[in-house]
Amino acid sequence: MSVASETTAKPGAGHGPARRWTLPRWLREPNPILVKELRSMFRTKRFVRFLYVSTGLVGMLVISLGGGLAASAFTPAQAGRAVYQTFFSAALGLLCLVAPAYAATSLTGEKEAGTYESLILTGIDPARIVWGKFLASFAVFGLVVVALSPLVGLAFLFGGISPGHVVFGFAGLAVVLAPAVALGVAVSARVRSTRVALLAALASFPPASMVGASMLALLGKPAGSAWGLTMEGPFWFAEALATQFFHPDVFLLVVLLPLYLSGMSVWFFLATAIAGVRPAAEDRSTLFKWWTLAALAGLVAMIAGFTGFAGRADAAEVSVALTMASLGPILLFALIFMNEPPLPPREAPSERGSRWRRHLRGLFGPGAVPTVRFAALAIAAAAFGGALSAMAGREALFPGLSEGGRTDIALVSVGLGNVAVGLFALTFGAYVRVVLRSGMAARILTLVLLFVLVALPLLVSLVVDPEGLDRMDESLPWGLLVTPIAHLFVGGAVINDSTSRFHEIAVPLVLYGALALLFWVLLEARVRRVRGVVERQRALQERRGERRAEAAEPDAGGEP
Amino acid sequence: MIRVEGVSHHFGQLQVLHDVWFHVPAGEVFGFIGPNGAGKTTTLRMMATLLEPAEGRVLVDGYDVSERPADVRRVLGFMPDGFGVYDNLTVTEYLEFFAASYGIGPEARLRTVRAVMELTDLGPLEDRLVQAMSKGMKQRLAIARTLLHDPKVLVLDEPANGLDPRARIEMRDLIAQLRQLGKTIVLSSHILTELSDMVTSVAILERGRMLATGPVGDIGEKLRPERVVRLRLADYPEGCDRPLRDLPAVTHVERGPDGDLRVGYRGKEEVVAQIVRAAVQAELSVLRVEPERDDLEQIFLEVTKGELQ
Ligand SMILES: Nc1ncnc2c1ncn2[C@@H]1O[C@H](COP(=O)(O)OP(=O)(O)OP(=O)(O)O)[C@@H](O)[C@H]1O
Ligand SMILES: [Mg+2]
Repeated sequence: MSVASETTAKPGAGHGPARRWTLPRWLREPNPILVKELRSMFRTKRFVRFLYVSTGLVGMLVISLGGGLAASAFTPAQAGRAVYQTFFSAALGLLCLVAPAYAATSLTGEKEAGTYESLILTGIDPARIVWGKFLASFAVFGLVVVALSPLVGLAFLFGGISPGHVVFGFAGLAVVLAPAVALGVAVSARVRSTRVALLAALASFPPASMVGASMLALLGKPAGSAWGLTMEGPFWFAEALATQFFHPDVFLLVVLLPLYLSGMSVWFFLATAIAGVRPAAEDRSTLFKWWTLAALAGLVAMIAGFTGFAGRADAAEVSVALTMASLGPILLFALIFMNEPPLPPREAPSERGSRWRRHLRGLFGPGAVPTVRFAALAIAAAAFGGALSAMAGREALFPGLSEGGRTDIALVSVGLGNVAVGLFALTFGAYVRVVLRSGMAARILTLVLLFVLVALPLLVSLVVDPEGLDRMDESLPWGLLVTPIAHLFVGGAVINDSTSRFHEIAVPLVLYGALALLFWVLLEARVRRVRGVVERQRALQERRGERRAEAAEPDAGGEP
Repeated sequence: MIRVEGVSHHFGQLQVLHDVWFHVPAGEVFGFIGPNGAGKTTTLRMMATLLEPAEGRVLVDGYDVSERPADVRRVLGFMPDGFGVYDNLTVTEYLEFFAASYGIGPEARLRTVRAVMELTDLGPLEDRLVQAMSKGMKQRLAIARTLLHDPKVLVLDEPANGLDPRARIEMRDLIAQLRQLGKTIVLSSHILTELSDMVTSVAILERGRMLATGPVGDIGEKLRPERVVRLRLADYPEGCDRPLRDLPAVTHVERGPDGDLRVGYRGKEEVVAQIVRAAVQAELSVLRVEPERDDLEQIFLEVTKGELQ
């Protein structure tokens, strides 16, 4: 109403004036959610009981194993390492199982107790709620790990490990714990009931982490032979870190890469949670846009880096393979950004910021069309950043390896194909979202459509011409050529074969490019229509109010 | 202060509100009454920005709840029915937590919490764990929480629900006190006696339709144009009712079960004076004049059909 309230109005950002985050302020005004969570945590018996039980279980496991090994033919050093691996694997298992489940109840608990809405109504920034819940759960399990830590002392009794092993073992736990807790919080923000949240958390993170841990254990072999490691089991990396932290390969692959992946997952899950806490009418996509920029940088760096790592003999193929694989992140971007309401949030803080920032917000900010615009650029950047960085990485390390330009043609055609398919998925999904008004429906329909587009032509071409697939190196069957993965086959073929296959590059490109354009145009038309309807409704409401006021005037009831 | 303009709402197929209009002027204590399922909570949640009206609009202090929810939240305190509290905190911790969530800085926080505790008489309980408090005290705590950011408007859903008579009287005093502080208060109930002595104006809702709205005094008149005054006379001579019947405002006169004359009339209270004057002029010996009880309960029972939804 008044000028003062216009300027202090900020959606979801507390009622005080906006202030910058600084460490002293944070210490003076810690996140209220975090403080409250920790406070009530230590007052519940359940938590104390959980501490007892978990230390008891892990302790029994480690001590019985240690006792058994001590009596066996193992050398003390071997036994020490076995105890070490057992302790950390058990701790990891415990965290992977319990931490996401615990975090998954953090917001649903408030929803069920009826405190959630009161909290939202305080106007506290959803990001602070989510951070508070995340940090609290993280701290709780940090405490569990601390309570467990004396058990690792048993490994020291046997020897064979250094303090460095232990420190990096705990660091490894933290790198896994953070996404585990963040996933739990994200689930918690998105569902209503604790039961569903628990099920979702238990069905997602523990199985995924089991797969991850076994892959990690498998990687131990090649890593062991490359870096001369002696330790077996999933925590081999602690030895690599303890003995050769600053070896470039170790630093990149065992320090930077896991930190980046863990950090990106935490960021993604927390952004999901924040978007879940925000009301639907507010801006939920900007967080993901920042995340996407960081993901793009990482993607480009990884493609260039791994191409460089590959060694002369494989560099060409690895670069093409990685560019193909970037279709994964591209489809992820499409899936993220297809769920955007047609109009920007009504409370968009468009009055604030410099002119240039307002302009940027208009181009790429909230709302279906700007978001699709942003995602389209991100998709192009992922496709070409990948392809170009692969070329550059290869050229820098192994000059003259492009084999008559064939690899480069393959890279460019794969990149173009990725762009076309990614844009198609994006614009199709965004259009469906706006028509059906459901992000869930848009995502499911898009995935189903992509699946059908891959499976159906493949089946048909198999039935029509069973031998066609065998001749793929000469020419791609027409059926395959219209699938959204055709460009991957073509790219693979180009690299093995010098004949010109331009029509095979062009057909999927033109097909999906045209479809993407079509849905983009449809989307823009639809958004215009929605805007018209909303404006008409608003005018109608004004008129109804005025008419009512006129009608009420004569008897003048109730108004002082 | 609050305008509800042509609001309709449905949950799936179920139409819950039908074109509801009303206005709560600043400084009123506004009672929102209706049987279970009438749509009271739905309407109040719209005021509190927790629900967007499917049709029509709700303005609080001039802000549209669906367009500027953050501004509405700044001027409005909402206590939901069946509110939850954090059991493991003490009263002070609980209020400090919410004060911090409202963005009240550490310097002002303790002061605010103390002021609010004093207002709601929670001071003696400051170190009590919430889980060890009675229902009435929790209700107070929930109201205290809504006061932390000094809102202009308080929206309380069933504030007197489940309170014993004493706690209810204390609640009434608290609401009167809040009104004196200049707050506009909207409260809902389906038990009319809970409200009748707290509110200045009411709206009656049934099955999502507004039956009546206005100041407590007027609404009886509006809903039940005819009122009754009972006259007790020393004796009742034949034809004693005739002079009263002749008055233009009087609609009927009859003998009640206890022998009193029940005089039905239309219009304002002044008519009662006319009736008494007419009785005295006719030399009837009037012992007692008593308006028939005309409280909200009575009105409510008459205008609603008492069907649950
Ligand atoms: N989230 C919801 N989903 C579906 N139906 C709902 C929902 N909330 C309320 N309703 C229905 O809307 C109608 C009005 O509910 P509302 O809670 O507003 O009534 P009320 O007047 O507050 O009743 P009570 O006195 O019982 O609190 C009821 O029939 C109820 O079943
Ligand atoms: Mg209700």
